This record gives sequence, structure tokens and C-alpha cells, in this order.
Amino acid sequence: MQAKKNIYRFLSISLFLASVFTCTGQVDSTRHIGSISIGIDISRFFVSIWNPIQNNFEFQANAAIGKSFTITAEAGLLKSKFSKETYDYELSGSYYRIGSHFNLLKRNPEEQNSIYIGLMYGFSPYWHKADHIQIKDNYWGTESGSLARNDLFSQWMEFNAGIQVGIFKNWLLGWEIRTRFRISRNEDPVMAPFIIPGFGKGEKNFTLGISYYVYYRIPYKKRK
Amino acid sequence: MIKKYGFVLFLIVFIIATSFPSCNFERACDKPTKFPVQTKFYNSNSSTLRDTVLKDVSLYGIGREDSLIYNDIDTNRLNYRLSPFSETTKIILNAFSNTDTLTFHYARHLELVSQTCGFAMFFDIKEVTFSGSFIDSVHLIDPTLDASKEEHLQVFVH
Repeated sequence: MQAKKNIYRFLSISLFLASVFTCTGQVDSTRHIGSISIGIDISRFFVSIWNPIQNNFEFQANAAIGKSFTITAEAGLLKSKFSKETYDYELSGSYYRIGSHFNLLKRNPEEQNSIYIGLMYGFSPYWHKADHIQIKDNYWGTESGSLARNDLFSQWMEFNAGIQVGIFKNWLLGWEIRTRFRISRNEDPVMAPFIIPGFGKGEKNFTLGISYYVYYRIPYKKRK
Repeated sequence: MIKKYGFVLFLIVFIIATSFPSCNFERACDKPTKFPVQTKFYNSNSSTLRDTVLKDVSLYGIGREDSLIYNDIDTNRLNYRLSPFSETTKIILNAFSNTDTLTFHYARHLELVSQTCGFAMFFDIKEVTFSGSFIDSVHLIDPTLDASKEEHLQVFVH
């Protein structure tokens, strides 16, 4: 019953209070609970349903520093493989993000909820290749070829805003809106990547994304 | 009410939100993948640039003698593609009961146009030569065969 109540609480806060960003009613306290949280992005599993992505896992670890700041590190893996009428394509890579979140709520020591904004740096080393490429010309005929594996590297910055809500003791749900701006890339002049792991569509310089995390929180410090 | 339907609402928002950032709807290919040489014929005897109509034109590529691209037409403009499998293409042009050969030397590169369009061969013409039976001269306007251009090659005939 308590868990159900907490889920409704998450829903209510997530859906209706995201843009409010109010501190009204929060109890300020000098007592501070430091914590480390480990999370998994459950939205990655659903993205695979609508996209030709076979494996995409993403994990997050963050450590609360002081009352409002959280140092956040994220790592993920992505593999995509699909066949089109005239070619087969394969891409694989990992991605990493590091940055900081700032909690907009005044911290109550017993409160796990947070509404935050963040800035992160992300990068991805990955490769892609294409096989069985058919060049069809109805006068000159058809020939096939392939493009060998090409190793690529992309970097971007992210501005994030999100919510975390405790559903059980030390278990949290959260979602985060991500706006990503590419700052550099190792271009492939022949073939734009289908997707840049952790960033989004390969031909874009700006992408928007959403992550849904389930976190387990490990409190490590308590003082008055 | 919110409590009752909150979880359903959450699922709907979740599904929509997780799909829209990287939705990958299949669309029809809306970009060009073939780049013919747009060739227009001009009168070499005119002091101004004046196009001319060739009579009884037929055209085919060396290696494809069995297949005519044009057969016995009257026109001032021809479009034909270079071979994507070679760096030289020879085009045989019959007109005025004479035969001339246009030879194209070019660099080519493969490029992924889009996920739906697939790959296309792009051409960069280095040189155009001709045998000179009824062709007086040629002028390459744009060496990069671009679908946006209406004319790549001007051929001046006697």
C-alpha cells in the first residue's frame, strides 16, 4: 500500500510538478545525508522495440557532494545491426558521460526526492561498417561491394533537467530530459553513422532525449 | 481520479517519451541517387550561344552496344549516366548520319545518401574528350554531377 502510494507520488510529481520547480514547503536542515546511487536506464530496453538496436544498456552512478551538488558518471553500450534492401549495416560502441547535477529543492534529510538541472560532457568511441552494398544502375548493371570497419569518435555536451522520487526506502525512480550538442566528431565522409551511441541520430548536431532511471541509494554519512 | 489512472498515464507518457527521441519511421527516399550528365547541344558557327537540334540521334555506351539509351530522335538535349563501375565511360553518339565518341574520365566515390535511399555513386569529371566527327568542341560547366544542375556539359557541333 505504501509502495503504491509512493508510485502515485512519483507520477504526480513527475507529470505535474516538473515545471513548477518550487521549494515551497521544503524543510531546510543542517543535517546532511551523503549518498551514492547506482541506477539503470530502463528506457533503453524500450527504445530497442522501435529501432534496429539489438543491445543498449546504460548505467549511472552518482555521489551527493554537499547539500545540492551531485557528481554523476554514466556508461553505456550500444549495438545496432540491420539489413536494408541494398545493404547491410552494423555499428557498435560504448559511451560515457560525466558531469554534475544541482538539486533545486532544499534538502530535507529524510527526503529522497529531488528536482535537478545538470551539465555533462559525453563521448563515444564506436565503429561502423556496411556489407553487401548493391549499386544498381538499370543501364550499366549491378555490382556489390562493402565498406570496411571505420573507427569513429564523437564528443558532446548535455544540459539536463530531471526528477528523482523515492518509491521505497533507498529505491528511487527518476526521469531526465537531455539536450545534447555535438562539439566534435571524427567524420566518416562516406557514410554518416546510423546512431552515435549515447548521443542519437548520426547526422544531427543537436538531439533531445529522455532517460528513465531506477536507482538504488546507499547513504554513507550522517551528521548534525 | 489522478490516482486511479495515474499508472496508466505514466505508461502512456513513458512509451511516447521513450520512442520519440529516436523514432525511426520508414519514409520513401526523397533524395536523388542517380546523376546523369545533362548535355545540351549548341551551334559552333553561331557568334552567340544558340542551341541546336540534332536530327536522328541515337546514343549508347561502349560495353552496352546492345542497348540504346536514345534511338532515332530529334533533340537539343540528352541525359545519360556514367558507368558507376569504371573511371572511364565512352558514349557513342550518332547524328547527321555520322558517329562521334564522347569519352569521360572521372573520379567516383560511394556515399550513403540516407538510410532509406541507400548508397549512391557520386562523380567528379576530370576530362571530356571527343573524336571530332561532327562535334567541334565541348565545355564542361560543372565537373561535379549534381542533381540540382540543369546543364553539366555543352557540346558545340558543326
